[in-house]
Amino acid sequence: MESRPVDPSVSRTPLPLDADDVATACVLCSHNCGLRVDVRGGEIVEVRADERNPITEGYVCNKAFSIAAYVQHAQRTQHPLRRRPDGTFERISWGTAITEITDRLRAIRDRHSPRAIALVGIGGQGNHMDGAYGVGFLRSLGSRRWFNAFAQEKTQHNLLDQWMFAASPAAFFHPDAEHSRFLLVMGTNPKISNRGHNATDTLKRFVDEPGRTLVVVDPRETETTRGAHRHLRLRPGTDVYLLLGLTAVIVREGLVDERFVAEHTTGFDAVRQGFEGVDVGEMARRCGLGVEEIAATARGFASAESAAIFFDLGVEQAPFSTLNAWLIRLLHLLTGNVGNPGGGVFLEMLPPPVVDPSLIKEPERALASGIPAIRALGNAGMFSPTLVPEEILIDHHERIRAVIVEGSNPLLSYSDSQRWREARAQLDLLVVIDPAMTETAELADYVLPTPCGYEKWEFTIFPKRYPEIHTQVRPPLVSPPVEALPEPEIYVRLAEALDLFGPVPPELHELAAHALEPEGAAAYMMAGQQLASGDETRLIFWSYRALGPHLPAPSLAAIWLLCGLNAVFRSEAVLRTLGPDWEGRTPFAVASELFRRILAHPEGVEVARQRVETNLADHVTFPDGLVRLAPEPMLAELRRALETPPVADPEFPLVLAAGLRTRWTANTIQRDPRWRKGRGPHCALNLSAADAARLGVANGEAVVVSTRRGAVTLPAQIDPKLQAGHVWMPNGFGMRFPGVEGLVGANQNELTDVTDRDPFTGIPHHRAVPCRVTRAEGPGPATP
Amino acid sequence: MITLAGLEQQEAAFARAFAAGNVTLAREHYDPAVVYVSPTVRLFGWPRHIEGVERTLEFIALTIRRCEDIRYEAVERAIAPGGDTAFVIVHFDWTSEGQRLRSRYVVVYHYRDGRIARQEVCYDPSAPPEVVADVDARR
Repeated sequence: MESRPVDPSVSRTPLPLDADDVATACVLCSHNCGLRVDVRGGEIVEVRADERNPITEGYVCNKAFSIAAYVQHAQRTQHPLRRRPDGTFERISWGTAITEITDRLRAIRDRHSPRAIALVGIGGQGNHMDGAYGVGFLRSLGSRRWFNAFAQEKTQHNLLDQWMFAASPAAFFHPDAEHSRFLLVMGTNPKISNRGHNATDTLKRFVDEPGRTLVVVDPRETETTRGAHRHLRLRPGTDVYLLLGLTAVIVREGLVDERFVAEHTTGFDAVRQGFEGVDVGEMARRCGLGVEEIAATARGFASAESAAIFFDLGVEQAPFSTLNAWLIRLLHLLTGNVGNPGGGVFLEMLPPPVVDPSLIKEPERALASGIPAIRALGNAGMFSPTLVPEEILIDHHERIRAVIVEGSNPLLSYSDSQRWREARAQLDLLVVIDPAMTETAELADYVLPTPCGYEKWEFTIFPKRYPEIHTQVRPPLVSPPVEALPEPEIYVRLAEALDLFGPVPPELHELAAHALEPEGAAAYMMAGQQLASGDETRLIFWSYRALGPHLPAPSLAAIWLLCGLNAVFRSEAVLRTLGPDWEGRTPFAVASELFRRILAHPEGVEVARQRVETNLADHVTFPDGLVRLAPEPMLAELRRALETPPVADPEFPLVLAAGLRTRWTANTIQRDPRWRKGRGPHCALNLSAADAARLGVANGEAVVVSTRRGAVTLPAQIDPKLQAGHVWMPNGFGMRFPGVEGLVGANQNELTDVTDRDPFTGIPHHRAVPCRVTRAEGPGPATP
Repeated sequence: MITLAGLEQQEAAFARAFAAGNVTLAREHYDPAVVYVSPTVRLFGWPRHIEGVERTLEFIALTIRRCEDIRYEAVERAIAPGGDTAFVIVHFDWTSEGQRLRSRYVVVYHYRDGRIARQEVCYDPSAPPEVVADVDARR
């Protein structure tokens, strides 16, 4: 079979040019549907749903069939590039790039501070191999200033899980929707966004199976609301008042599960006092619902055999988003619905949920706002990307001067593009590591090419099933551009040039030769921990070089080490999967078997299984085992919410939901607009018939959307089911692409504001942006 | 958090306790609410998880009651990332019916406030111990 040799950092063996039925996963959203693909001549030519994938079991949406367009397009980065003084780029060698970048990083670190260096990005939707290497590199440089897209959406949940449960940041509080008798869906349209596990199938069963209730809260009528038993159509951005009303009804009407609260929690008296002042009628008025609608929902939730709340961006990127996260947990806890089948449960993922003792230490804080880094997806703290511009622009000796952007496109994907452009002008160094020449790469000092998610070993990590814990580690399908290097290789080269870890001890090289066998693994792990003095990052980087030559690709050293952590920290959960024959075997034998199974199953494999009976107890790590119902900051935030009615600004009277997902959005990683099918326009301002009539706008006519931060022009699309005063536009637009006149759609982040954000986390309020819409003069933009 | 010096001190205490045939000498290294997990519970009909320091010491004492001249040696040791977990490879030698036997196993320790909060013994009870020497010959 004909094959193509690739850099050993990509694969130790050549990649075949033709292959059939190769297992992989869709990386266009976090659901990571399992796929089977055929490859011909080194290109993906056929994509199918994978029935054999144990995680998604054949579930797939339309986006997956376009993954070839993500791999092959006109904007792939081919070579390391350096910016010339005139703004153009010149090709340089990897050696020159690594030397120059590390010289400049060293100078900034020595002259100013290690904290003057930041990492923005890391990870994608199913491309996580960079994580351990990228974050480890930054922390070993002496900086903890890591800004990640997850912190633009979800770190409020980690914060609350740490405050209320002392739960590991590697665990996720999530509805066990597949078993819920009563499901309250808020801030999400899962039938389009694919949030959760096989959402369309899961939600359909609420209709098919008697005795189950599906209530959907959404300002819009959507594919999900149409299948619900009840649709609570609140005003956009007012979810907090609904949650306050629901909780108040449960507390006042004696619907609290007193036994559960007494056995598992502390702080209920403070909660009861806090909700004494909540006027349910006023909350109903603020969110545009009837008091009886709220009361009936609260009663249904509290009296159900099991109940859970299914939540996503609509409540996360909305005003009071941290308070929303608290209220969601409180509703589950007060009704005895945490840890039980069908309630809210803690999901785990491949990295075991270890609570690092350093959690209790003072976290890194942003210089300008004081907002803390929040530990999420593991034990490293992350900041919201909304904080980056002000951390660059602040007058402070440790302000950010160098940024490494990897796995993200901040100029388009993060709030307030104008503010990012201003901040970029104040940077001494911007390095972009990306498979594509993005809008951010266009502004970089150095651009480093890296394979896309189908051109290197990669894996999925986000949890979907319960109680099973899965991962899918998948090999490259096709060859990357010749000079593209996987992100782990880039970080290792940077670390070596900066001498962050010292040379790999020779004995580790010797022990690595036998490390894939249990006895050899024991010797390697024992020696490695000793030699690295317990420094996890040092061991990962050393293992990349020492174990790498014995693995299909060196980046898999991190997966091998993760298998070891599972065997040590989650041994009983792993044994539930491996079976009783493995009981009593050493952690090294268990780790070796896990690693073998993972590599043998590129379609995905179960690595461990949680214990359903003790889900709550397993994730509360306070010494007394009790959940803290009333974190003090939330009681103060509760009072602030009661004193704060919804924003009413006559200058910007409409509420814009900026960045909704549609069947034809994939953040900004799908750059070639030809992946979209159908008539379009795919990037339109959607507005109600009433607002269209008031503005005198017809379908397809250009409108200008203005906010305090900027304005964009795009075609109007009248949605008769949208309520007056509410408009929305999709995410993932606004890029330049060869052959397209102007931009591909409009960038929502020309309208968003980095200062319009949650005070605890910095998460932006993208789902409730005050705006104004007017008719555009002239023909308007081309419509993608 | 546990340090390498602390781990060595703990293992030396276990060595002394086993040599004396009195495991209570290691009591101070345990958290009162320790959980002890070992596949050997099946051999003695004990529950899968043994909870509390007294029950743990009682069980360990039970497992060694027929062993003479015990020599416990932690031949390799390491502290896992985070500092709250350690693992040790043990050579456990004893005399039984005229033979000097050796069991090799791994112990994983999880710590709370520097004391053992969970102890997992990784050992295959169906595997026969290694005969190190005939006792008479050794003498």
